[in-house]
Amino acid sequence: MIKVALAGNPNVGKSVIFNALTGARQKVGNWPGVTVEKKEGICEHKGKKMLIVDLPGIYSLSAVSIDEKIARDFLLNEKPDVVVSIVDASNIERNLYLTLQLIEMEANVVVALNKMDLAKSKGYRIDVRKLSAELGIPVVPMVAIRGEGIEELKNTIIYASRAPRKPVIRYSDGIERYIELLRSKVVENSILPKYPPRFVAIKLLELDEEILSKAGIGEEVIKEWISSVS
Amino acid sequence: MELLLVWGCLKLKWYYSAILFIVTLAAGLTEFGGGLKGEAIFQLFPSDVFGGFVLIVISAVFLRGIAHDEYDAFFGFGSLMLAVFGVLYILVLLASGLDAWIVGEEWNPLEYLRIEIVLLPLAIPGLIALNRARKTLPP
Amino acid sequence: MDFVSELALGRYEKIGEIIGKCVEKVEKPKTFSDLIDTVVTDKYVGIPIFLTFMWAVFQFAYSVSAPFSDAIDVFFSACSDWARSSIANPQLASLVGDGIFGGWGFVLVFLPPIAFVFVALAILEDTGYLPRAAFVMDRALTKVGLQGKSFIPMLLGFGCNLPAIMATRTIEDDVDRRITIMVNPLMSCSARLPVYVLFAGVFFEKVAGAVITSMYMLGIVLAAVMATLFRKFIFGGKSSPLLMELPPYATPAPKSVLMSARNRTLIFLKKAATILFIGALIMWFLTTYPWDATNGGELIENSYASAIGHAVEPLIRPFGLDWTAGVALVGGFLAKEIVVGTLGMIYGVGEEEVADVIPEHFTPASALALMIITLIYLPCLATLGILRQELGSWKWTAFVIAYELVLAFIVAWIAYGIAVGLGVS
Repeated sequence: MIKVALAGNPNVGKSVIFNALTGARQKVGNWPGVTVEKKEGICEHKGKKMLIVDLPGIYSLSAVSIDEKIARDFLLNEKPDVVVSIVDASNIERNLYLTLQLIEMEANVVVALNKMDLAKSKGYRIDVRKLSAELGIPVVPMVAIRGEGIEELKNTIIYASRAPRKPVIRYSDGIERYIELLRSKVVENSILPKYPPRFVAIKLLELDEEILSKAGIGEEVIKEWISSVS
Repeated sequence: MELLLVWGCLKLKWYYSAILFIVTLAAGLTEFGGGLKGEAIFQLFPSDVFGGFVLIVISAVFLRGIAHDEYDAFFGFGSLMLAVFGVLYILVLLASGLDAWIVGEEWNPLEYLRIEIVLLPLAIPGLIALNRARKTLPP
Repeated sequence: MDFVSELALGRYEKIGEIIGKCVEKVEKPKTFSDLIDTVVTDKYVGIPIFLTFMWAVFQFAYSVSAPFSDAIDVFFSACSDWARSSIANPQLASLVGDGIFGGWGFVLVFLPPIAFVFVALAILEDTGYLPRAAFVMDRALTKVGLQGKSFIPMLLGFGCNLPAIMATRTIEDDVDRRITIMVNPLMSCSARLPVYVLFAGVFFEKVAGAVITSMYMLGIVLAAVMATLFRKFIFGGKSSPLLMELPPYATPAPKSVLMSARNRTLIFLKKAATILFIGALIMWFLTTYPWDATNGGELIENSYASAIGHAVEPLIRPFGLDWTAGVALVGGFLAKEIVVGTLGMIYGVGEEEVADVIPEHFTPASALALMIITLIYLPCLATLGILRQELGSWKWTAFVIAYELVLAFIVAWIAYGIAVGLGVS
């Protein structure tokens, strides 16, 4: 069974897509230990079964709020086969932030570019093919409430599960220098080997509490490493 | 600006807004006063302070529209509010009828005929304009 | 170097780069939503508009749901009568008739208003209006130590404080959240309404509606006052700024509205109904036993409940309230819905006759005091549980209970004094 996670900002149409994929085969419960709602469902397409998990709506994976923690834990521990990053095409800049973070995590990301109609009415014209090329991952344009793009999304999920793409998106040279530095330290010292090294490097650079404590490293160590370069 | 082109004559809405302002303000003040005294207005419509307050607010919306560039918006929305409360009180009327039937009491529909219901038809032009705007403009 | 912001900037830079290559913007026309927002967020009429919609929600919830409540009431009264006349064993008859059917009846009668509140709320949500309302109220709310996002939990509190307090999770700032939770019980939940309806109906006939709404207003005012005090003296600091997005307006879809209302009502039903039902049984037990002393529930004066009521009486006698009110208030701790039902049980009458018996035990002034105490004094058991959970410690929960009790007595005392002074006795 293909494990699929649905991630995205609030109000992007995640529930609509979730319902369209799973129909009546849904189950509602709680994420363990908290009173946040968890929705799971089954989607069968072309003989393949997919377990769809609806993650809480979040703007970033910084793990400050409960919703972010839940999403992050799920992505790191459950390692879904495919992560659908649902992006509101009419708000694309803000929405892509989360997508980039998912790519950093080296999740197998497929972008569901929803609300294409809204984007169009706002005057945006999006070259989906180019976007897919720039991001290095499949992008499926959709108007979920009209049911447009659902079948394509299902096909793309199945395709992505067979041919996962883990692109590396490089930021500005200035930052990449530090990321590279920490990445080599991570590999050298085998820090959190279960997680992708670039991801760990970026999180350490951000002095992410959770990662620091999981790795058993203090802030001063990171700061030391950083200053050794500059 | 587009809305002006959408509904023909531009001054018409402005005048109608003014009329609605006066009418709803008058109704609101009367109902409010009636509500304070605890009696029906014109011996016909049951009244309470809050119904009066609502009508006064609606009149304020029309008034604000008259003094604003975007008066179409206020005209449309004020009409919408008028309609919402008219419908609401109709529902209350019907519910009271259902209730009387269930409990087995006598029912006098006139006791629930409020002034907001009577004012409901006045909201129609505004609703039409609003709906046209909804269809022609992007969401 | 601050890498958190560096990385955030880096990501946004990258996004900008990508967008530049893939997205083209054609001239942006003015939208329908903008049009509506001009009215709804207008600095003059914005808040009054919001108030009228709140009023519409409650008119809808209480007046239109009335027939359904009455239908439930009629049904359970019939069941209750049947039980009492058909079951041979008197104790069992009382248990089933008064305890179970009576208890269920009194509780389920309030399900329609709550369900209708959720329907109205869902409609407001789906149209996209709620974020605007939060935005409009933000300015007003920050003046009393809260913030725009507190508005929805406060609004929900008028339905039931339990889901309302759960809804505070959307508030990120811890202090803002705490204050919102701590004053939420002052938002008069639907369970307290029967108390107001009963007493306002009996003693303030013509102006009953106004009196009832005044109770709600009082709750709001007290919440504002307490929030300001808490912010000033306990927490300090300012409310965090409101950052929220305004989705475009849409026509609400009936299916979505009904589903949302259904889900929320079920959650409420599951959590609260069990406690309420158990509470009703407990009240039945306390008012019916010791069986012989009360002669099968007839002589309530000899029951355990009466003993409790008498013990509480000295505290409330200054307001002209007697031990029967004491028992009802104690019952109200279990669940506010039980207050009226308990009075019915104590006076040994059905719900229709309670209104007739009331004047023998209360005066307009003491009725006012009782309503005020009901508004303020304690959250019900279910809400208490959620308070403990969301506040995270017994210390804070105890503080909430304490301030509410003190506040209840102070305000009731003032109101009673004024009422007596005005000769309303």
